[in-house]
Amino acid sequence: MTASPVDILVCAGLVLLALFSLGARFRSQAIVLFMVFGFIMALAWLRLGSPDLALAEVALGGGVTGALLLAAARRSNPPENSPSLKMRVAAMFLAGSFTLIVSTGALQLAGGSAGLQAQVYSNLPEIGVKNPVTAVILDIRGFDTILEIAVLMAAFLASLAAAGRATTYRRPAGDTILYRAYRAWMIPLAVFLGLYLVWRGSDLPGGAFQAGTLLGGAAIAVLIGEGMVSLHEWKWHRRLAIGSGLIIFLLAGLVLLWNGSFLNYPMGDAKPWMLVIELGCTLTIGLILGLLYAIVAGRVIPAKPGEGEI
Amino acid sequence: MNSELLIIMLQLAGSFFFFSGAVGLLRFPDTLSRLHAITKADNLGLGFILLAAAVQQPSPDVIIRLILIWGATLAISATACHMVAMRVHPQSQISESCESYKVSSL
Repeated sequence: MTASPVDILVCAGLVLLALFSLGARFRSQAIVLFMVFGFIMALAWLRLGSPDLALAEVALGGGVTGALLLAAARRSNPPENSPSLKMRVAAMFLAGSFTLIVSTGALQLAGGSAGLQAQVYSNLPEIGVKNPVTAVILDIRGFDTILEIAVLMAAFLASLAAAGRATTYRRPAGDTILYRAYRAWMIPLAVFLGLYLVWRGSDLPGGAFQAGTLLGGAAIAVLIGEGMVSLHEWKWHRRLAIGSGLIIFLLAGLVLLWNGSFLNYPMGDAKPWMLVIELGCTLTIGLILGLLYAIVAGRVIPAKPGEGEI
Repeated sequence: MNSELLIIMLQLAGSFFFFSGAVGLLRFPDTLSRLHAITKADNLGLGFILLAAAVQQPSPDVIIRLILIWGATLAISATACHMVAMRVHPQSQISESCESYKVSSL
């Protein structure tokens, strides 16, 4: 295996960006560098032949996480107070040691094991999908994915509890002709693309996490444009939509438990099950990412006594 | 002309515009001119890079995708630029003068 100049450039860029991000004087600087790091990381995943991870990384690391962090940084008081030199050195030390530990472990693995690729590929016909990543996420390690969705739900509920009862933005950025055209054309396109990513996820790179992040990004764009979201007017069907991923996942697991064992899909016929589960997870991930942004970027206004509930 | 040479020239042209966009972003004095630098120069640069990709893989499938990518990027960067600009100068009259247009007429 030889490294091409592009690989060397990507690796050097990643290390430098990580160092600059950790050592940045201002918080917003560090966040922007971290977002750039996400984009270059996506390039690295592409070079390693993992388009699924590249898609997720560019949408999450380059997009939604950056928006969440920037909103959080703007919230902190005073807005531009920079972490002290001691803090930055400590952060670099921690990140450096963590990287060292993980890479030592990875190097030891690479000597003796080729990974589980062969086993996954040999099981694909039995599962009935062509994308090995989807097979791992929803079938072989399906239990992990349920718990991931549950963790996301828990994080969202905790943020909601911390946010208080009602949230609004300071000022809508939106009411211009360009934003209205964007809302009319690009948001439906984003939803369509999200559904397409889920649909093709069983055979080609894509799936619930990528699609959900795409929807979350679209939700953040709408939130910035419209300038307002009220969290206390949430009716039961909206709560159902937020929980849909976990609910559908667990229901599917229970139905399959009736037929045999938990989340053990019918032989060679897992695709429709996965599609339904992934659609639910996409909705959950998209809504939660968007609402997390609403919670972080919004300003809490106290609700009147007895007004609404979440 | 040799297509290899054409690809290299298009890529160099694209890199030049990306580079000037980056220089503008770093060197221009205020937010509005910086926005100008990154939205105009970078989109032109992207156009050249995508053109190079189209010359490299001249199949209708790829070309349609490249056109869609460029169109979407243009639309999104124009919208984002406009939203940031409105944040910087909320008192400007751009919004009102656009009021007479309707989105549905697009």
